[in-house]
Amino acid sequence: MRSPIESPDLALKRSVMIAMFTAVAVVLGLVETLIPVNFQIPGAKLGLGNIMVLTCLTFFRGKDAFALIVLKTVLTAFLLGTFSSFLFSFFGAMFSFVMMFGLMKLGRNNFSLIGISLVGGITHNIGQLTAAMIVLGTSKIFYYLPFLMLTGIVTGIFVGIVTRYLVQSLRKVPQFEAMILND
Amino acid sequence: MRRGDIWLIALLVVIVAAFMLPRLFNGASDAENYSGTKYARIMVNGQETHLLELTKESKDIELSSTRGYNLLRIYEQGIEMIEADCPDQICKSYGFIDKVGQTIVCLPHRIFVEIVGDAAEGDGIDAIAN
Repeated sequence: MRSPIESPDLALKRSVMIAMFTAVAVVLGLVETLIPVNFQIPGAKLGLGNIMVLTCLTFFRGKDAFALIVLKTVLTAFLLGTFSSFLFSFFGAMFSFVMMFGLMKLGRNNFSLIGISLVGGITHNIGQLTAAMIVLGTSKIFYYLPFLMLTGIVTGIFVGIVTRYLVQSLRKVPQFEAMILND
Repeated sequence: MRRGDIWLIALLVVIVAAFMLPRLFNGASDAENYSGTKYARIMVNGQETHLLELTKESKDIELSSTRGYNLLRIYEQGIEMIEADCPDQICKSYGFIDKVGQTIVCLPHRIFVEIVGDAAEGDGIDAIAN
């Protein structure tokens, strides 16, 4: 049960945890660009940052995961210098977050982390391409979506499995456990 | 893995197959058999800026804007993004394209390149006549 007034101590612990999760997510995003996985499909990527978003959604509240995504998108844009495409990644991240959050709330009994990860990855692509369609004024931008979806299925399953291991391990950390019980 | 996951994966595979199979059997062969003149339609920020014939001889197109610099090269009846100063370099990973319907996108610089044929949905002819 969550107490109506959150103790400042817990709020601080949670903030620190979100900051750490964000840092890990950003680093994963950077490491990902160094891994020479060539999908032969422009724009396809592993989406390792989603591991942290999913973990955050599992342990914390929706608004905490939302904060993580906003911070991650802004920080990545600054670090990689991709500010010109910030709009597109932000739109993708938002759509992906809404879908994963909804599925987490409504379909947790039917979907495991693998399913939620899949939905997150693919809706990220769709959101990004939709933003691109609006800006570039052509629906032909969706030409590569089926290919992106195909790689998205594979990477989504992979990210889901990794997240499950991470969640299982984190549950064993005593401090973490206390925080979740208080939530 | 829960039941929902399996259904979700199955649904996604069906969607992907529905998009890709017709393209593999008809679309691809249509595009490959197309022997007419091909054109590259270049759009920047939603506005068409170039409509160029894809010739065998090479020809460079430089696109400079406040967003950045791109160099496209037409050769062997196709087109390729040769240089771009965008941070992600995704546009270069499209490689050399020479089939009707193929595209190159540089999102950071808002550039969209598409190969069209003479009879591409009617608007190709109009655009060429203009």
